[in-house]
Amino acid sequence: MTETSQHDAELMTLDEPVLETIKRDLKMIGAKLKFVFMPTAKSEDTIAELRKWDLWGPLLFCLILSVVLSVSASEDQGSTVFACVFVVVWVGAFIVTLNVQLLGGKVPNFQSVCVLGYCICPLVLAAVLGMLWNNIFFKLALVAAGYAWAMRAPVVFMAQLVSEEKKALAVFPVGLFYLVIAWMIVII
Amino acid sequence: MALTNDGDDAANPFAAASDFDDVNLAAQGPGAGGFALGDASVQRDLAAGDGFVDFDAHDGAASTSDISLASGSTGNPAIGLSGSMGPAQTYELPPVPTGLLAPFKVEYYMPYFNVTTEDVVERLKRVAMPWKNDFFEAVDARPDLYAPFWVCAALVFLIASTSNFASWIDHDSSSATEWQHDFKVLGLGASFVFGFALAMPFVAWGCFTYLGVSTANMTFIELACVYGYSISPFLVACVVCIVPALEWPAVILALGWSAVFLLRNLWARIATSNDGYVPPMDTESGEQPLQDAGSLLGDQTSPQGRKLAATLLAGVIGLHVVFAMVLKLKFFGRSA
Repeated sequence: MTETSQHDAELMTLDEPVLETIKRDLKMIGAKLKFVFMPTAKSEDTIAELRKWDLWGPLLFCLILSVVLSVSASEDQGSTVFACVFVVVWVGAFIVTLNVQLLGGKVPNFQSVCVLGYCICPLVLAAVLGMLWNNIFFKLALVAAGYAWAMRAPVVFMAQLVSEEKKALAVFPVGLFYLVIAWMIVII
Repeated sequence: MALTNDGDDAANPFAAASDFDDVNLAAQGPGAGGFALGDASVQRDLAAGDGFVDFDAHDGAASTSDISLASGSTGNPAIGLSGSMGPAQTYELPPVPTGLLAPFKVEYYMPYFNVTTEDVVERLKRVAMPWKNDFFEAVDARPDLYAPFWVCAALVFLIASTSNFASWIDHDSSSATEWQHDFKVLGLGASFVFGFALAMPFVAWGCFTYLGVSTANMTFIELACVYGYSISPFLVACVVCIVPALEWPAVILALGWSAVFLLRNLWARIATSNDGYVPPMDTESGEQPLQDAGSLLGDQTSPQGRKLAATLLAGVIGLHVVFAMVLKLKFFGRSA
């Protein structure tokens, strides 16, 4: 009986207002973000939370980052920057995932992409704050902090997927992935 | 175990995958179908599947008393059975998928990523000191594509970041125009580096195969592996290129380094006779199983063969020079 009512409740989302749906999704993103951002949250907790994967968060952050960077880019390079950021985030996340799978880690594609995607949020925040004051050292400090923050959870996540003697091989691409994103934020 | 010569192998349905030893076959059973082999065997299996003529030293080596062969410690007969690199197998590889869709599965490529951090560091050390030790001894019949891929990826990033940094340093702050970042360099660098790293082994492998320069010694994956590793000196060069005066010296030094590495290791594989390899004696009949391993490898011991191999290697180095020049002139072309 309870099963059917649960089932009904899920079906009911069909005729709920769009606003409700969006609110629910944003809430979900917010709940996950809390774990990415909380300094007290252990990376294990963050990973546990992100295991229930969705791609809305990564899409949102990727779009924010692309827009922020292409707006602050020079006029003739705006579209290039937008495309570059988009491709780097998505293709990069998939390649890093593929890498860990090839090294013998057993992880669903999208779950890993979700972890990597949510964790770019500190860097997105650094990019947004960086727009406030166009000073290279201010930006560098922001991005360095964002980079360190972003790397916390994914490094642990990747490292636990593979055997002990392959940890560095799984972690290095993660570092490179965030480094490319950080570099893009700094130079624009 | 009875000896087999080439004639027997042709009749043997398993001869194509030349590294099936008895132990593996016994474990699998005739109906198993999936090729769950030790990783060295997987490599050899794939190499043979690529259409290589493999001389069948394993038939002599895989005597029934030698169970350890099944664990992938056979090494490559062509480089001598040194086996100094420790145990090859670190974890159980899933069976390599077969069939039409196999190349689209992750497991298909897993044998090429079956390395540990220690392996990669050891191999990179051999690139750093190319004159000291043979690279393929460290590869031990397990060529990886991990480092080649990530060396290329890191090089793309370094090209993009350091060339932007260099132009930022060069920018005259008193000039009216503001410094402009160049984002296109990321895509350009990626196509350049990955294109070169992919095309180069293909061209080399095609030439080697077409001209028959003892291809039994060299699989495509091994070529891709050695070429990918040979790019790594350019990583250092890219960083040094930030300093304006050191651009040319850095690129030329990296080119030389990587050329020495390539020459030493490729020459050892394609152009010299396999003096290091002693065909194993068969204990039962007391005769040499392979009367002359060199003759099966083509003519590379003859002056003509050496000349051909030298020409090919000159071509390889020539392409490498092109790579370095494009790197310097296209991406660090400010002072030129």
